Amino acid sequence: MRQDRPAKIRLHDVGIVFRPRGREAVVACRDVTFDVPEGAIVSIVGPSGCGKSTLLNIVSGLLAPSRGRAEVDGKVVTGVRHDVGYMFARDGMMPWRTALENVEFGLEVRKVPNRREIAREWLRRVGLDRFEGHYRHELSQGMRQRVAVARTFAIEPNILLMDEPFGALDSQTRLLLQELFLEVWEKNKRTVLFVTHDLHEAIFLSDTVLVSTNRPGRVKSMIPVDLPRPRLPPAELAVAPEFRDIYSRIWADLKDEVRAFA
Amino acid sequence: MTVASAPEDLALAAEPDPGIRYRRVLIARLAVVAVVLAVWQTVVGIGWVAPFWISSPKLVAQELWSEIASGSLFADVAITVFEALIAFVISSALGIIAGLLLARSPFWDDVLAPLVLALNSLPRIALAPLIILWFGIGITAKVVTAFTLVFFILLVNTLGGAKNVDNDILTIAKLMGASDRDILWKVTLPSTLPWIFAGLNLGLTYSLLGVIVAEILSSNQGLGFVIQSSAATFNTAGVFAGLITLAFVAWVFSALMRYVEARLLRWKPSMTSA
Repeated sequence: MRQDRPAKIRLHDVGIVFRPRGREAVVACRDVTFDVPEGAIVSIVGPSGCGKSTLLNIVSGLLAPSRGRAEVDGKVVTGVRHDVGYMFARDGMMPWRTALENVEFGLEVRKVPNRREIAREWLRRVGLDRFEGHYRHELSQGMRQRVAVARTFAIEPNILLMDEPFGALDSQTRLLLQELFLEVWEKNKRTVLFVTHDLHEAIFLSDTVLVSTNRPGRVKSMIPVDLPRPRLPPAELAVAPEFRDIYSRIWADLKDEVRAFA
Repeated sequence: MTVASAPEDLALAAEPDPGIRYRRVLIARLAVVAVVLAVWQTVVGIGWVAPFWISSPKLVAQELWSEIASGSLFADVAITVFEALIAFVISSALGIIAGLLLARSPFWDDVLAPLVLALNSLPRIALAPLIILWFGIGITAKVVTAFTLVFFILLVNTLGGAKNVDNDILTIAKLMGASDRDILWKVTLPSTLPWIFAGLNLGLTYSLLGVIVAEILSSNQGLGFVIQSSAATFNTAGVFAGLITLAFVAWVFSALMRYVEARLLRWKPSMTSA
């Protein structure tokens, strides 16, 4: 089973405290311990402000935890990692580069020789081959996020950290991008840690859904998603009884945590 | 039931052809100039104001022509343009470098920010006596005067731009393994380019301004000198001839700058339509 696979990402007793100047210290999360097995997709869902993005920043090395440690491949993360693919809700496209040149950026700084062909191939896979010469302002929100997907996968990252990557898209585009993401992911099955507010998205993509508590964020439950891969398209999956079952289990755990805020 | 066909007058509601619009703008612009010149000529012609005070378009045209014919106008324009360009290039280069360096060092930015502000608030004309004392009345003094203006404009603009690089882009670039050098050349600089160009546009105008002020204060050549010496001999036509030439030079400068900017910033939404 999945549990037998070695941990690719491991968080051990991670806690983080922010001390904004002149204000009270905020404990974003505490006692966070969990594993992401090699080749698995684990989603984190939880109320706003429970430190979900913070955890991604800790794994990437952008942020040092106040307590505990993050490990990737069994080694403690000590500085900014260059082997992660990172995506946010904002596309992060460089407006002065064309779509193609944006995908090329990572390959360029890594001095990959045939970067142009690789970037072209990735743009083709996300369905943007006809838009390679377009600048950011000439692309729709969904296309920009496709560029971000291509850019992220083009460097063949060791792990993927996704911070609500489709959160800013309209719901139809989001469904298409989720499908695209899984389709691309299926090819080499990188390990993914995925933060989202969208339970459908979490279930559709993940092997395990981690429900976080209210701030300070702790692991409330880890709910396995035993749905066969490749998954059905999100719209079809959403009406399957197994899906509904998992959905209610997650929502049962999450409801009380969100209620405190709403 | 009738099916609505596309009304033929729909085209009337559409925007006029950009070519036609441009021609209209051009004609209206020339008309404005013609009206101003006509009023000016009439006011002097019917004797409301003596030509001693405001000259007249005809006298100014004659003055311009004689200065062009004798070659003196060209020599004066050449020297002023030369000074302004030298000052512009040196000050811009140093201002951009200083801005990028300060953006990399928050400590020195904090140390120097109020000092830069104080220096930059100083009316430059107050520096003129010192500059003349140190650098004489030659080209150097003009370049230095312009430098005190242009350097700060480029410093402040570049610094502002370099401190405002999109954080998402920086984060992604770092995670992808971009070195400090990559970040500077492939992220900070292109991202700051619109700010730098805003500074360059302003800087070119101020470079000319600095040079002209210095020429008016102490010089024996250049457009500023022409204006100053004409005024000193009550040659109002000469003053206007100098001013019109100056306006023309300034216009050429800014037109060139806009052209370069449009080419280099093609990725900007507003640039593609221009």
